[in-house]
Amino acid sequence: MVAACGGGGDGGGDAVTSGPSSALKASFVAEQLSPGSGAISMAQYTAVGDLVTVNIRVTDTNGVYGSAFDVIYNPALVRYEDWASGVLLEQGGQSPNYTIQVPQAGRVVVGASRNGNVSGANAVGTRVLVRLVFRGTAVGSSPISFQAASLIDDQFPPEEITGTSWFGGTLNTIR
Amino acid sequence: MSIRRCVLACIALAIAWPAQAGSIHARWDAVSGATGYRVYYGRTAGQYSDSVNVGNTTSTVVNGLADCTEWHLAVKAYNSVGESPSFSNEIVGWARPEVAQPSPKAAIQGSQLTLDISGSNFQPGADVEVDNPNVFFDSPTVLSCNQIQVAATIEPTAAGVRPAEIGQFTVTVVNPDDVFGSKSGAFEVKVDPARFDLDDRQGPSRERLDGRDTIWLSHLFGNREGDSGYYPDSDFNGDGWIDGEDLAYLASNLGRCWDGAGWSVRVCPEMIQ
Repeated sequence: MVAACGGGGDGGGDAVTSGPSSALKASFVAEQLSPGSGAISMAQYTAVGDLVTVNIRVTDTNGVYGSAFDVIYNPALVRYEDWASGVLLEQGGQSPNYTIQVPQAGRVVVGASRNGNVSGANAVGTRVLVRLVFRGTAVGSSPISFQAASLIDDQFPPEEITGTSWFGGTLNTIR
Repeated sequence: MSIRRCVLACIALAIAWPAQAGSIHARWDAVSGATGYRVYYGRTAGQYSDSVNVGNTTSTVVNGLADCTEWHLAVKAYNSVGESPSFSNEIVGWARPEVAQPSPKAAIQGSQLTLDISGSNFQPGADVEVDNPNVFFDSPTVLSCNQIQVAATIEPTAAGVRPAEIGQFTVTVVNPDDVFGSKSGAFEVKVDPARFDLDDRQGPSRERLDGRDTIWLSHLFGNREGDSGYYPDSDFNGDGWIDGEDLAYLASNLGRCWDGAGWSVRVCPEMIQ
């Protein structure tokens, strides 16, 4: 598995730290609670103090080789901290490539895919693609949304899987 | 005991030589009964202005020779009785070529340029080589004994062409008599960052490095040159293997857009800034 994450870039990235940093409490409210077939949606996995882990999930879609997307948030309220692998792309014992970078505050760029000339994974029901960890840094609500997003099939050259819908949510931080 | 004959065999190779004075490496056949050898040399055939006693060995490097001029060498054997009355056959040649520095010293993949190589002892008809199989030096022109010009092509000059490996490489000048001189690390090949945008379709991904590009490369991950899945365009560093080093180029520039010379977030369209 090859991965890159954290700050850097000429736009000034987010710093990466760990552990609760304040008395703030953060939580995530999903835009779509019952995603249907072809949905790629965010949902809260865990919330501990000001740290929230958001699952990026794929529902009822076959032949998923990977996904490319940006995640946008308000850098005045939220900071990206880290990522963790999901289960969908690992299907069949694969070691996926997760390439995750923060080119500028308020944007995480994600490329997650299977590795080599293998078939795509089948998301039967809802399966986690990747997990992203955010920290609420100030009281308020920040939309967390997808941009430039695509789900990719296992052809080469890669082609976008059509008929997908993308759903984000809101990260709320209170004291 | 008399020494009848001493045969100078050929010119061989040397690795180091003085920066300001040339050298010739000579070796010869051993002579029965000899206890040592003396090498004679000079600028005129058959007239040797200098000599050096090299002891009981059958090769030596004669240093301190003036550059860009012809030198004549012959050998005599000796023992306790005296020196052989006759010389070996004579060899003639210039001191070994010395490569000082190409200009420019570096080029990026995909470029075609004229390279000026300075040094000494470059003979008319000399050739220039580089130890990178995907860098081509063509049409060498010896402008003087101190300068050669070559047309350099650093692959890939088109899509689908095997790229030149990045790194520093040895430049060698070979004179027509096959005597050569090298300089290691003399020429550097740099990666062409314009190659990183594998998925250059229209839309937000065009001229931007994002997850689509990493997925493209992941499809080819682990393929080596010779494999059916080896696509040269994805082998950024030209090492013949699509691997984590290539992915690292994408990772370190992820989310950036092409500004004509490199990848920067500042030039991304407003919707993805």
